[in-house]
Amino acid sequence: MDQTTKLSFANSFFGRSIGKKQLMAVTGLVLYGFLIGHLTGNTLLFKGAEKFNAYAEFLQSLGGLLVLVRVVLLVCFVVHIFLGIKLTRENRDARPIRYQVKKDASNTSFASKTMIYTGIILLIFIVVHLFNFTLLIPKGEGFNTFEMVAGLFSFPAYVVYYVFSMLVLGLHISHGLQSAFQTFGWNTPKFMPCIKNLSSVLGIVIAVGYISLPIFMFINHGGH
Amino acid sequence: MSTKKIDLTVKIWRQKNSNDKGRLETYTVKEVSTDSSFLEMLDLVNENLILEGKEPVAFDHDCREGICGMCGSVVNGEAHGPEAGTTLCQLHMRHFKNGETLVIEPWRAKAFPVLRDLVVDRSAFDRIISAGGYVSMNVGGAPDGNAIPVPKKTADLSMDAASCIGCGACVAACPNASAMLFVSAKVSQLALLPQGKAEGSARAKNMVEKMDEEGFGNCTNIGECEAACPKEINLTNIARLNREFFKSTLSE
Ligand code: HEM
Ligand code: SF4
Ligand code: FES
Repeated sequence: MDQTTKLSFANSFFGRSIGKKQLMAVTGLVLYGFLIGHLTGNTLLFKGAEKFNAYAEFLQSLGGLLVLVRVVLLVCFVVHIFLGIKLTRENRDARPIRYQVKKDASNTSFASKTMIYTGIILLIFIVVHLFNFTLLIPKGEGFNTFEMVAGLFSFPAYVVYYVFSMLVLGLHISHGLQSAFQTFGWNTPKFMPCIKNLSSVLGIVIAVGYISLPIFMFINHGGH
Repeated sequence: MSTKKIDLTVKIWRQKNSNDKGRLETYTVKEVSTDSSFLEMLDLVNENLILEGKEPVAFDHDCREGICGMCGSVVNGEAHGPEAGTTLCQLHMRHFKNGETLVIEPWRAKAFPVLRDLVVDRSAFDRIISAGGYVSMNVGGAPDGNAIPVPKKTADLSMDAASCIGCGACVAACPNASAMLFVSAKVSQLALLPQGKAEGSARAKNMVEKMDEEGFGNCTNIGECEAACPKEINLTNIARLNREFFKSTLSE
């Protein structure tokens, strides 16, 4: 493959609306996978400080692998967010003059029409989350991760903000999963209703899962 | 059903030409038969305007039987009005109440500039078709077509896609002004049949490229298009277009 055909592949795929959407869907699904893994690991909070800290130490001990996973996630985030904003701007430009009256069809979902807003709330959440839990914390020998989490979740306002963000996450992914299937073209009349239901149910399960963590910590380890 | 007469207030988008800013103007129209169609109601508005010495409202129409794809406006925020699976010309006035106010606007999209009043320029669709919405080899006549067996189910899916009349309601209804439902119908009707498969790959790639060039938005899988489509073109066509596009960028 010479240089020009390589360029033209990149251009003919990623330069096109469907190509951008398919990249958006791939990165979204990678992030989705992370959500599931992250939640599964963090349910060890229910098991108490010892189990949870052992898990945290295990993650730290992965060394190079942890770095790799973080880099992949970071790239997916950046691409997903960049494209999300780019696509949304293009879509706004495609209708420079709005309707004076616009009625939405009854069978379209709220989640599907608010992806950019739920996405931006998630972006803010993720940045704050990284600063709170990962970046600003000096983690050395004998660092007590459980205590840190318990400390953060002892503030009622923080718990409320966290719960709100996870509800928003639930909305984003309840449309996101089924949307990604449609974007890849994995839509048949028989299969799609099932995917739509799965997408909604998983969205709720993941949101409830994440919400249960701060509430559990606040009640049991909030020092009240 | 007995014929009734209703009085309406209509707020119609008036715009002299593509450079004019345009505005909604309010008219009253009395004694509209509930058996008449939406376009006949507009005819009545125009007759009154002509009697008053004013410019009649320009709107597109041709067959008035739901098959040509010329008509279409957004009525109270709904493309082709409130009835599902119905073009504006086939919409009866019995679906409206006496004394109701109707806001009537043209399709709104960068790719569909308003020419005058409710008339928009939909030649972007023609250019998308020119980019690949055809079969370029000689496929013979009807007997030749029947020489290649096609499963009934596949033929039906192709016929369903082929029922798209190119009206543009999908673009008008989509929050992103995306033309994906139209393009997917035009790609699907051919991609499903043996005669269309040969050029399938180039077709999807070229038509999508043209669609983007014309300034339509990106699909975000919301479904307003499907709800507005007078021919009830299904979203599974968009999924097929997505597959065809992916295949084509790998192979072309
Ligand atoms: C945990 C984080 C996230 C996950 C799991 C996730 C997942 C997904 C998935 C699976 C899709 C569907 C893709 C498709 O329709 O093909 C999607 C769409 C979208 N995401 Fe995210 N996302 C996340 C974070 C974000 C963030 C931070 C933004 C910020 C801008 C964002 C903005 C969007 C937008 C605008 C769409 C709609 C794009 C479209 O349909 O064209 N997402 N997301
Ligand atoms: S897909 Fe439906 S709404 Fe869109 S142009 Fe064809 S017939 Fe009209
Ligand atoms: S005038 Fe032909 S479809 Fe309405």
